[in-house]
Amino acid sequence: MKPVITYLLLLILLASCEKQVDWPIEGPTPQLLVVDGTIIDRQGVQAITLSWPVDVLNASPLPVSGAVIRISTADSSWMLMEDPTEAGRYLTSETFIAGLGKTYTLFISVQDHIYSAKAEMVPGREFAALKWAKNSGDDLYHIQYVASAFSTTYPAMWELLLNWSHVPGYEQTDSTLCRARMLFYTLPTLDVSEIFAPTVEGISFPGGTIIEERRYSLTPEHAEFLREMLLETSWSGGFFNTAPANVSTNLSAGATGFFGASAVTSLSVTVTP
Amino acid sequence: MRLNLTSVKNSLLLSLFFLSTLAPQAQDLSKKITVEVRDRTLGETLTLISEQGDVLFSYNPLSIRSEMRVSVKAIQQPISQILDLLLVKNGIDYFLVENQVILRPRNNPQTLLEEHSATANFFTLSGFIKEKSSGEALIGASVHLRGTPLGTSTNGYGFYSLTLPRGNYRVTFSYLGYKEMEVEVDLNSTRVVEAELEESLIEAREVEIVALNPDSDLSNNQLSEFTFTKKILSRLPGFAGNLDIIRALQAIPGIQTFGDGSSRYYVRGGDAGENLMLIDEVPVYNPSHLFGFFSAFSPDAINDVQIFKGDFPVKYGGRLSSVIDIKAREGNLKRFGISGNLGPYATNLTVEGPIVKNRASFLISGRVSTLNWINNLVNTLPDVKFQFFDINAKINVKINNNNRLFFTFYSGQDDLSRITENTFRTYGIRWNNLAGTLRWNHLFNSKLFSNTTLNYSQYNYNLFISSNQDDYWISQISNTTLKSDLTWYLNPRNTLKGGVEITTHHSNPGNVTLTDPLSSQQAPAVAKYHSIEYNIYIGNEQTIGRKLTLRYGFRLPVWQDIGPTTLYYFNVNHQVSDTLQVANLEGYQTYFCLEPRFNIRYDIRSHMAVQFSYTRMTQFMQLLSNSTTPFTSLEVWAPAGPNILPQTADQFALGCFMKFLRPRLNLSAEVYYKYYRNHLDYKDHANLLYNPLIEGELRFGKAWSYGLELMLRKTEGRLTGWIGYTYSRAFVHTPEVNNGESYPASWDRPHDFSLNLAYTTYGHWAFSLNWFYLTGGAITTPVGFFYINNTSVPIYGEKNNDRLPDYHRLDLAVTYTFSKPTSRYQHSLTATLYNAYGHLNPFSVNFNKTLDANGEFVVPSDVGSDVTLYSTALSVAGIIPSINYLFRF
Repeated sequence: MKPVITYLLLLILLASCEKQVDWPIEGPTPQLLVVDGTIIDRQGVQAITLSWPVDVLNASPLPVSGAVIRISTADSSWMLMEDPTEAGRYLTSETFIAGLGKTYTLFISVQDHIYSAKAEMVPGREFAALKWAKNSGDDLYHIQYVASAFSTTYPAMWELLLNWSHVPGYEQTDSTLCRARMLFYTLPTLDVSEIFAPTVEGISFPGGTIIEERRYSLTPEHAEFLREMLLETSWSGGFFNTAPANVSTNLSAGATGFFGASAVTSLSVTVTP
Repeated sequence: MRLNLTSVKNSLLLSLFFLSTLAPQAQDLSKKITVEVRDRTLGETLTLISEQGDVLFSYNPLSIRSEMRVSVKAIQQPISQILDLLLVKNGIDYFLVENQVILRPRNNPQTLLEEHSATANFFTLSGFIKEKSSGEALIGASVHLRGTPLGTSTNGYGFYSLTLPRGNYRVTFSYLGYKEMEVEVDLNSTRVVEAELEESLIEAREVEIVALNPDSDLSNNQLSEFTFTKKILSRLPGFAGNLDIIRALQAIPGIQTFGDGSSRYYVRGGDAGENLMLIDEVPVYNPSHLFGFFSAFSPDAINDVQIFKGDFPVKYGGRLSSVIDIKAREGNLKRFGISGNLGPYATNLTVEGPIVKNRASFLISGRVSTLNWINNLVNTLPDVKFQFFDINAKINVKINNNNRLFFTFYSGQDDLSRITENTFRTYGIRWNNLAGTLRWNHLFNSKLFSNTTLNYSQYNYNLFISSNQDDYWISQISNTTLKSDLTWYLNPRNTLKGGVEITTHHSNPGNVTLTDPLSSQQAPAVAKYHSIEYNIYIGNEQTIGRKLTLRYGFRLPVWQDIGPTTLYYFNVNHQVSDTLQVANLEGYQTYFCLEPRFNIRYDIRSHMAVQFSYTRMTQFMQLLSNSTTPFTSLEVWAPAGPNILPQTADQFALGCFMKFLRPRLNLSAEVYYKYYRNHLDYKDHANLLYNPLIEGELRFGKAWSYGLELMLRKTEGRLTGWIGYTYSRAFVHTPEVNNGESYPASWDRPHDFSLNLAYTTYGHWAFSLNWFYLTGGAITTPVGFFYINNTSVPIYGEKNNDRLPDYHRLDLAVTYTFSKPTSRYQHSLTATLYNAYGHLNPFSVNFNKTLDANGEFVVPSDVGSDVTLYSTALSVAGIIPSINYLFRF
């Protein structure tokens, strides 16, 4: 009885109540060009995604087709062509490796408007593998630790690609349900809403899952963009929100989003007990 | 025949006319009788009162017109109140002498003041007013000359001084909740009259709060001011059975709290950081526990709370919007006592008593949360630790009649942590306040009162970022003040107040301490601030004629920033343009400001007055926060300097006060307009927590607010309370925010209605309720969304383009007192319901959550899959019940 009473008292005093509400989005929604693209120091096709904003929650992004896109440095230039299989996604026509010490300029021409952005790269770093732990209630695992969330000198974005479609018992499951892509961040800033961020969806995976862990180096500007994006997304909705505002951008002419360049280091681990 | 008129007159004067032939007996003017008379002679009416009340009247029929037609309706009222209505209003004084009620025409000292101000001999009547049972000072108690509008009230230490022409006076001392005391004073020399007022009994049968003298003027109704006495506070529902100052503030027109569980409050359009809260003159930077659920002050340690929303006396400065001046109890000078409050969330205990009877006393009050103890006991949430405590202590020493020392100590701390193996879920925060005051009251003479104070206040905020709590972020602010106030009751028409003050301020706007040497070496240092503030202030309260009162003065603060520090200069784009290392004690920025204060009051009638005031306030120490949370988050304070201009606010207020006698109600109406210069604002997504260039995140503009405040208040009788309504607006214009467009402040909530009622039965029961209704706060909601990394990111239009749903809440409390008022052991049970009908008042609306398998709203973490997002509203408090056992002996 005592635990029940105590729990009730704690719940009454400390628990929040979150309810779904019907909150109309009152526009007009500005027609901003949205640019999402980070070039990396790996041999391959580099990609930039263009879209228009939507005026309701959960609406599919509206792809921007017919844009002319070019990435250039002082001594090279690459044209990007729209992926015929995915509208709004533009790929370099040839592979190239983005490198240190160069300034990459992105030019986009859409509907007679010219947009541009510049990006530079900071070096990547080797890193220690993430940690996982077993769930308390079942035989599955969860991510326990990826990296420190705070570093004034080496900000980074961490991409985890999890795949357990090959694990016995999951071979027949829809492969899209046996994969997950998670992002973590090491930023040079501390924010209250980061520390007291709202609860995040738990991702559980079986032993034998292969996790590819990638570290993306971030310039201070790129880190600031991601910080602001997180303030408006993953860190929003807790008890310590900050005043909402539009996420900053390095795009010109009223576009939004970010064009970045990152050095990527990676490793792959298999989840074992 | 020549009639010797003189002899007739003398004989009549000498031979009192006996209206009644009743044998002399003990006269009891507190006896309640019913008298209903309409247009009858005074003589007939007095006969009626004499018969019903068994009282004997004597008067000279040559000077008292007994044929005067009068009307009076009084049902079960004390005889004294009926006589007040019947006689005093008609220019007749009455005295109780030798078991007879003697009537005589009023000898109006006001007239004497006017007629003989140049020639009459004036003498000073002064002294302290105290509570009879404890010997504690009564702050703001009324001193009034019966039958006149003349009077004064005690200062913050219970002292009063009144200079009058030579004469006989009937002086009444009264204080809400206490029995009135009246003394006859033959003022033919300077006199000291100490008054000890007896508390009206708690027992329901006699619980009516004693009426203030109906003749007392409205001098206690100052513009933009509100006072909570201990008695009034004890009648409010509070939170979880605890008297709560912050929540009590919410009931006052012009003051709005953020909402449930919040200790943030906004006064007349000012931000939460523009409020000064003092306990025995020392500032407390975070007056809350558990993020704001509990007030930081132990209820048993509070004596009196004065709230200034504008029209600030010259002794107050440093904040733009309000001053909450809390006076701690001094401790019982006469006997030992213990009191306590046992509740499910917190428990407090107070011990007080004389160190030397009637000369020195002590009070120690402590409170501790019980949640953590219970949690440890049953291990419900083993990784979560939360607790708070506070200690109030006071020593009061009466050295002699002219010198008194007080020492006040306050300390409070909160700990909240969740330590787990999982880094994402590990955090810990701790904040603590430490404050101490040493005060010396000195009476140079009956006209000159001084108070010299040395105080220290410190506030620390720790954020632990490792599980063993040795890596942490910390911000600090502290100040040390030495000041001396003088009150000079110069003459009947002028009371001068002045003082000097010097304060040192130190602020650490947030630095990290890391155990890893490399990280520690690489962590940037955020420069600390050091400043010295000097203040000189002087003001005068001047009476002109019968109806006009002026209060004017100024405050002259001088602010100087000194080293050591690292100073950054910013260009127009807010980029660092230069850096300067400032040496220890080297001054690098000085501000001089002048803060004029002016108030004019005109008494239209004895129970109706209008006032106008103008006040300028300057704020040098700024709270930097762009949080939209209702809770106290990680506070950072920074002083005015080369990059932060001091904020100033000019406030104009016009008010009207009326006092109705039947029923006894006070009505006040005020309008105000405030204009802010150098108003503090922030760039979008300002980084304020750990940023060496924090000043580059700030933006400055202007702001303005205006409003109308109405309040109808009943302070006497079994049913007490008030109804308040405020219409107010608050706007901000910062050139570099919101595309240069003006926008409503987030605390702009136009309609604010509050109802507070307390009722005490004839039995053992007492009931109280609060009901609040406020327009929802202004918020910024998206006008669209875009996608980055398959994550939906909101797009915003104008700042604060939307509003939260309207806020409303009902709090209920019922108290059953077991004991009789005469019992030494007083005890009662109080049941409270916070938010009684469980209305959920959202404080944020979000567009980034999905439902997990357990039906909980969570932030999606798999960016590789498509999820459905929901718009959700977050609120904190449903119904919060509490049962508390209170005792005192």
